[in-house]
Amino acid sequence: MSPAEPLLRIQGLCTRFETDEGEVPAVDGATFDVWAGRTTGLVGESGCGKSLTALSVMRLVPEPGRICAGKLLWHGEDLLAKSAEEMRKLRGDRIAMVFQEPMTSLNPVFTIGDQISEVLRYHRDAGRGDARRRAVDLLAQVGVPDAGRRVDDFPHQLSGGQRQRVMLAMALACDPELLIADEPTTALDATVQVQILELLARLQRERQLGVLLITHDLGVVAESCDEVVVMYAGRVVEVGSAAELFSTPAHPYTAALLRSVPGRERGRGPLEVIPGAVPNLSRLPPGCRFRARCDRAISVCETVDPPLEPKRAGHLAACHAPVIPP
Amino acid sequence: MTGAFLAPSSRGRVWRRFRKRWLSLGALGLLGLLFAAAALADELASDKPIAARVGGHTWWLPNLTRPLELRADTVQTLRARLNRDQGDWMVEPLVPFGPYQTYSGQSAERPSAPPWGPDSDHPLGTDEVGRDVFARLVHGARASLTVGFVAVGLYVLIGLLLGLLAGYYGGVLDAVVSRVTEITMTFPTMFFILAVMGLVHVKTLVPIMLVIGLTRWTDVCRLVRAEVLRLKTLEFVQASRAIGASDLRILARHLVPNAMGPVLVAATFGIAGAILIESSLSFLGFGVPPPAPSWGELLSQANRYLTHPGAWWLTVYPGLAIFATVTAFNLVGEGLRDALDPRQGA
Ligand SMILES: Nc1ncnc2c1ncn2[C@@H]1O[C@H](COP(=O)(O)OP(=O)(O)OP(=O)(O)O)[C@@H](O)[C@H]1O
Ligand SMILES: [Mg+2]
Repeated sequence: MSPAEPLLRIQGLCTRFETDEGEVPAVDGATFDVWAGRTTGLVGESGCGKSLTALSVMRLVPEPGRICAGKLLWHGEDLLAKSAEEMRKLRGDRIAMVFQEPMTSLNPVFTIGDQISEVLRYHRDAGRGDARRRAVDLLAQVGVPDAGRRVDDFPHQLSGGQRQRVMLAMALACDPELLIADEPTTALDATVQVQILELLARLQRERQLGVLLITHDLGVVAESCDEVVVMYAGRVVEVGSAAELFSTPAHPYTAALLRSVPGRERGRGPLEVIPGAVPNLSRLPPGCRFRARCDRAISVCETVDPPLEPKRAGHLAACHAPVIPP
Repeated sequence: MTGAFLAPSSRGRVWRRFRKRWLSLGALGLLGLLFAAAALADELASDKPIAARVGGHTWWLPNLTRPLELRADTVQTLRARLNRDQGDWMVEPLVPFGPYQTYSGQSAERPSAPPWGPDSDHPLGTDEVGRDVFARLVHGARASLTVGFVAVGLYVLIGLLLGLLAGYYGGVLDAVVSRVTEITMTFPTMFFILAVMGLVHVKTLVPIMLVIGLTRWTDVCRLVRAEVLRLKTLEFVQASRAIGASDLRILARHLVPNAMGPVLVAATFGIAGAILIESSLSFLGFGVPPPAPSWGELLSQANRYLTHPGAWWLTVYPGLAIFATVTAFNLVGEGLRDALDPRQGA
């Protein structure tokens, strides 16, 4: 049932920061696909380049960052070849994004209705009245109670969870094909997190959305993702279906990440912390970036950076000494 | 008027907090009165009546329309021709003297030459040629307020524009704007105006407003730039880019309303400053052309007539007007600043 062509194919994406201390390759050769109607989870430790990958797709990399190589194939067409104006028309219309911090993602000086309408006015030339009716509609769809009244509220009158619902309403206003959600629930408390994720899953099913869900919570990935992409220090180290990856991780980093998650079936064993820290991106050692923290490192790991290759059917990993399934 | 610039969400909150400062509230009231006085100057003090029927002829608002038939008439001459038995009537202004009127019906009967002190005819006295001080004060308010608002409006516009561009785009543009700002900041406005007035020989308020507007925008520019630098890192700016907002939309819709608060405060203080500059220049004789009234010009009259040591009304009233207006603008500015301070509760 899955379509032949992915919604978005990221190929060898490199995004760098030019800083005084030299180049920081924050995203280095990221390659993975996002499919319509499916949720792809992007996981990894803080600073591994998840947000930057997302911002690169939107072509909103902050200064002094630059996309320096790769392709972002959107329905087969390279987003990097599009003009700024073409890109602007895609943003919010075909590709939408929800940010981590619902408290600051809304402009404090306009009503939420205004801000949802704004999207429709940009992309749909909607009139004031029309846009407002749509805004009320959308608010109701994302589960904001009493939407007709809430539409005139200012952001500070809403709770964090409600604001994130508003952000979702904004993102969905033009019926996008791809929704990028950058840690949409990290700033929320646990019960609200669950509600927002359920909402996201429902909207995704109803609209056959492609979702790129960025998170560092593996629990969230297990609940809601079809595919998982694991990043480490700017590189994609493992790609596979959620089921595969959770049961038989191939990369030692993924395996270590899974061991560091409390609860679930693994819960009775001692909780592990991955020793060491992420290497400094501006002074990367040769060879595998995870080597220094890896318990399976062998001599090639010190010299050859492992490429991302199929280890099993539909399961890619960048490792010279992958974990062997028991 | 100023409220229109403020973002809708903060309007109510700011007003609630502003209201609590009775001193600033009083100052705002005083400024309201001053605006009313400047707007209604011709109803408050004029040599023509507000409406009259004299000799079978009815005039409405001759104080504004200044009809040719009444060219030679004043409230006083009309009063003399008024024949109430034939149904004549007249609505006089509060003070029946215009700002230029040197002769009044009563002056012939007065024992001494002007300046005359306050009395029932001239509530604030007259100057040395017998012109009514009250009339010149209310008409002079127009000059002061015009200079204040036009000059400050001009520099807020310049400062806002440059500050936005520099803060938002950064890079070379920012460097250029910042250097120009620093250079402009070294211009002493007062001397600059004196030099310009010496060169251009047009004795109107236009060069004064232009020079103030073109030299005083630096504070607003720096304020706006700093504010934009802060705001543009906030997620909602990034988020609005992610919904496809153009640079122009982000600037106009997301940055300007959020940066407007501090600009308003600076503008309020700026108006007080501009009024002082205008008064000082008129005092020195570089302001409005001679017969036209302005507060500084009134003071300079007083200065010239210090030979009449008793004529205190020539200094006290214009001085009070300047002092009260400048203080009121400053108090309103302070109130606004405190009310906009996010560290204060709702
Ligand atoms: N302005 C910048 N200048 C230099 N380096 C930067 C800048 N912004 C980000 N980086 C680098 O990019 C890397 C990736 O950042 P990114 O925000 O994508 O991480 P992330 O995976 O989203 O982390 P988190 O989970 O904390 O959100 C960081 O490690 C940082 O070194
Ligand atoms: Mg991030």
